[in-house]
Amino acid sequence: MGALAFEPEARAAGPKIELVRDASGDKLVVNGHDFIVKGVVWSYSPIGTNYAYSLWNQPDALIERVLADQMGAMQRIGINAIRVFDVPPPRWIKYIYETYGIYNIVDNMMGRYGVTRDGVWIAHVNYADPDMRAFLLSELQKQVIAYKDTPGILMWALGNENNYGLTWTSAEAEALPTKREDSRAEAMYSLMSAAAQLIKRFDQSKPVALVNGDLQYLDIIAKNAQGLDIFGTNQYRGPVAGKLYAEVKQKLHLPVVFTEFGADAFNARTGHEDGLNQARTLRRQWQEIYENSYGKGYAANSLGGFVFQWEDDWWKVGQDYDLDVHNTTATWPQASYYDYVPGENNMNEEWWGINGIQAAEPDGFFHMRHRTAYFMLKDVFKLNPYADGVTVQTIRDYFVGIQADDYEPPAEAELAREDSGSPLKLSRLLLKLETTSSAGTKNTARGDRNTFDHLESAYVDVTLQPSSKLYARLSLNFTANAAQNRLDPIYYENVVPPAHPYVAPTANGGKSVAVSQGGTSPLNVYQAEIKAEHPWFDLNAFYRVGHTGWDYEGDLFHLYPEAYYQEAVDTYRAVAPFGAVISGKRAFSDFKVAFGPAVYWGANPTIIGKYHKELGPVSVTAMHQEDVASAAVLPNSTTTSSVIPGPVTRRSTLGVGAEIGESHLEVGGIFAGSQRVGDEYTRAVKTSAAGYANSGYDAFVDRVGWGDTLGAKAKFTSTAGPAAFYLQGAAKGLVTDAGPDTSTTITGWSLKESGRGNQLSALGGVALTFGSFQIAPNGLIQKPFVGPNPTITGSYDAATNTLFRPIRPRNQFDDPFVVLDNRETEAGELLLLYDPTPATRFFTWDRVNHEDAPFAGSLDFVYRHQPTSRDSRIGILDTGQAVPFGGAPPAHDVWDLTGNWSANPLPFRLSGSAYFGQNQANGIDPRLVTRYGAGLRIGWEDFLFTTRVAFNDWGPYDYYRDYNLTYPFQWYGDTSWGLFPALFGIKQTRFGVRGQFRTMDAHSAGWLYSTNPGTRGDEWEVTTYVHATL
Amino acid sequence: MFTQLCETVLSVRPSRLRAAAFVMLVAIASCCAGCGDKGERLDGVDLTNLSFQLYASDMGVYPSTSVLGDPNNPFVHVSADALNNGTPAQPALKWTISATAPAPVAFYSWATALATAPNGENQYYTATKLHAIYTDQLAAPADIPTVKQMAIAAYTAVLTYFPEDYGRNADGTLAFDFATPSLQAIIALGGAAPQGWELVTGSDGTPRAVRI
Repeated sequence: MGALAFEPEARAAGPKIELVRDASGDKLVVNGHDFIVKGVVWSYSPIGTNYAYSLWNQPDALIERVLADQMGAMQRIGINAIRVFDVPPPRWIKYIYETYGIYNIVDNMMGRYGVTRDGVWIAHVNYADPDMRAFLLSELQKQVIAYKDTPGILMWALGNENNYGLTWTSAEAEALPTKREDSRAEAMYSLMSAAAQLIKRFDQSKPVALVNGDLQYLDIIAKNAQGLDIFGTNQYRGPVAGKLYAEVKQKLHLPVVFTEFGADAFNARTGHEDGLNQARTLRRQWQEIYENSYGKGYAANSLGGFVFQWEDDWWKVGQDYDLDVHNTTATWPQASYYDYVPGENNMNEEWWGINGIQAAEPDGFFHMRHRTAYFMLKDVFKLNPYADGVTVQTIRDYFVGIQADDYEPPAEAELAREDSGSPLKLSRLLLKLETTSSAGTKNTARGDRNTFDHLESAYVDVTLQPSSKLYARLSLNFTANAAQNRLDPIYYENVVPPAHPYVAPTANGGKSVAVSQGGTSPLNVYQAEIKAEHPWFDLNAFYRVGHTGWDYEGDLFHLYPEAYYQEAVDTYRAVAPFGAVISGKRAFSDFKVAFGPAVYWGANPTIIGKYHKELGPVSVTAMHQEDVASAAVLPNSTTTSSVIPGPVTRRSTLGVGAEIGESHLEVGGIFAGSQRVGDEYTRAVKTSAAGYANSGYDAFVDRVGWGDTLGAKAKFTSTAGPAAFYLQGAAKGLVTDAGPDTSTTITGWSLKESGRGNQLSALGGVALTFGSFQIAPNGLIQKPFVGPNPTITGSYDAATNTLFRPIRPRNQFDDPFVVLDNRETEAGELLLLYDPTPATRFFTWDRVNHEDAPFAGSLDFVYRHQPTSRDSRIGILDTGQAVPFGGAPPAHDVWDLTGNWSANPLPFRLSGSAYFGQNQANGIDPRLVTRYGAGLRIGWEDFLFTTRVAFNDWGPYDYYRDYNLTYPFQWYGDTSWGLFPALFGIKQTRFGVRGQFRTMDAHSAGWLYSTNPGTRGDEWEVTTYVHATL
Repeated sequence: MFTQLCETVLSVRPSRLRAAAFVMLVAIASCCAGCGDKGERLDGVDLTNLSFQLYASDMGVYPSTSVLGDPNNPFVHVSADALNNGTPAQPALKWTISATAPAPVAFYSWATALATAPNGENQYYTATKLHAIYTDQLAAPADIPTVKQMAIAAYTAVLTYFPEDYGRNADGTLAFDFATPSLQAIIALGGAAPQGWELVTGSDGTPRAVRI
């Protein structure tokens, strides 16, 4: 009998762990007792949180309460070890061991889910890079030194199915890869061997296990097994692993521990929770584990396993969104499981727990709901396969006595208490009750009388989920009364807000479009969505629900952009996005089709098709878009001036992408706007002569040609190393309008290309990272092929009997193309970023919820040199009609400096912003506005305080900037106290008071007059509110 | 030259920079492809030889907008704002033309103003210009009877659609009502007073159109 004893060092109080090998097989012996691993994979993620949540960052009292509940439940059914991705700090490993007798595996992911090196977040690790190898080993060394003397560690583990990471494209589980990446695997496994040997240089008291995905690359592992004591494998072969044990024994000569195995508890075939079949699968798996253990005559190398997993994680699908939804979408197929249907996915990532979880209490504590497997495993774990006289037959006889059905009643009872089982559920009820008091001074339109009004509004969400293949949600809003006296009167519940309180400047020329601010019904559909799965396609229909774009799927010209508008669509009651996407599967997996009245805000009713094919490192994308009508035919298509639907168009694009190492090259062409071929347009060019009508311009009349419908674009992005950079060039004909760019390139730059046609443009930027600091200069040069038109007054020369017809700036309603955001510009940007935790990206819209750095901040300066003016934008009159402005502010340079930061000095959660800049009105007014302001948000336990000040800035709605209406001073403040439930640490039922104050002068909306030049007016508002979420 | 440029790009090392150079090449090529011609130079329209052409018999008579489809109308591309709006220092184009241009030119300017901004003023002066074309025989002889009927119809439209409208002085004060001279002109042209309208003489001896 040979024994590989892992002797605890003298100063360590840990157990003595031996790995015994003899003719009867392999087994673990701990403190002199045979030890088969009866483990679970454990993570603790309250509903509404995701991978970023860490129990170990919570107060000790909560951790102890959670451990008492969770470890106590484990202890009761005989679990003796846990594997935790978010490895507990040493003191908690010791606590768990000493209090509950449960061992931990300390698992170093070895770059599986990306690493932060020198301040740079690297999502995909190159194991062949000597610098990266050295970095990973140094990080491992630090961990080993920190943990090696901690009592309660059963073994070290390396990675988590890193072999799959060589093929998969994201952190989410995908179909198990079948193709091999031998050279990359060689590099990775040689590093694992080096890592195992490194561990042993510092700690010889515990064995080292590899965590591999199934048996992939077993041949390569065999060549790189030095230092490895145990072959850990995440095993998803279904109820039986078959020859797995024998194969490992033959090729690796190592004992086996299942570092993950199990079955999910959602039946993709029936669309219902199925704890019974989960338990049946686990029963068979454990029987096989026991049968292959030491001394049973089979492979005899099974050391036990870790059931995946202890309790559900509600964040697994999507990972950053729908965190409070128990998603039933199956994301990968495995034919050997009970619910497999050929050609369809059946693995439900959010349902792997042998325990369900319930909504968390305010501090993050939640209760479990035990499934059938939990009750059954108690009896499974009562058997000691190493006990004298236990044979394969004994084991089989024992398991005959364990039938999963017998353990179903208590689980069913718990489920019944939690869930009525109806597919139709009331998923949210939000009641908003507010009282608003407002007043102004005498010289304001509001007057100096206090006014009182109130809001009563309810949002009711109903979900229907008859099976995992169909999910539908309908959100209704009922507003009994909306306060009419608010300083900011345009908001969702105010169905018919008052006319804009200003006198509109004279709009010049062109036809007008009627604008509706919404229906008059107090009951409205607020949101709706449908998600349906079919063997041949997935359908996602959305009504005022945001969606991702196809920017990262080859859509180089952004025909289908991301459509998350947050509060803006509510403020303006926009019916967008509104449409559906069909994503093909099986033979049609390269195809997608989007269609609808407004697939993004500002789109015409349209249909967009995409074909995207990956051919190794090269991808090809072809798209076509056909507008079927003008958005003007739809109600609520134009509710604010910043989103004016363009003319009906037709667009076709063809693009090729190529991966070149850590770099990406995209080249494409576009054909768009053919409906406007033949349309006449005028243009004016400066001349030193008298010119047309003595204007100083020569004028020309031309027509849109076919060449004006063509465009091309190329973009090169390199993310290798600490100096990531990109270069981009594009030329687009006069009517070759593409879509808006909502994607992020490398970092949070704000300078982006305009999607509009009629321009030649070049962009380039480099992000230099020094530790936690990033310096990122960025530049843009763009010039329209045909510049904007000046205003040339029409005239009649009686002497020559000659008529000079007027020339005006073009506009979107009357001309085939315009010069707006594609105006001649030379712009520079300097972005500075400090972010010590780049894994939680700083430049995300919900940074306040996710950023986990003690302090992170950015500073962004943008300067735009604009040597020429632009054409006319569209404004909305106080009559509710959209009409073109008669011109534009003169050419002028503009600049903006913006800063954002967040900090987490427990128990506070802080974030803020500041800005300073000089910019122009959207309309025609030439007054240049120099404005500045700042905002602050403080979260402290159940309190939330936000405030914002602005000086000499426009008001909150688009029309303020359209008509250049500014306030000398604006202040907003809101403080509230929250009750349950919590989402991202913020409780959703809140009581609060909101205040607003602003001063007014001659440039302000609602300021009347004063006989005293320089005097000002004031307005203020106080609102008390209760927002109850159930 | 383009071939040389391509060869230069392909020779760039390392490959990352070569790809970047390729991006620039596409941008430059696209720039060249996007350059268009200058189109047709726009000059003033010589109205010396502009004559009245009968395009439609309801031209210049509200609510018809047929004048906007008349290829002989030089004001089609002139915006309603430019025709109608002005200041004392820079009068609206219709006034400048009305003061100096021959009647056919002025007719097209007023009729276009009427079609894009209907009001009593535009209707009345359109009628006077039709009246002048008839009186001065500025249309083809065969069309003269029709022009007369158009003038009567245009004056009648003032009474029918804009009976309350007044002419104003440059300072904005009321000058005269359009109804009275319109009814006088209808009668002078041999037309019948529209039903409900009558020309009466006031105590001061001045005639006045009234509704009875």
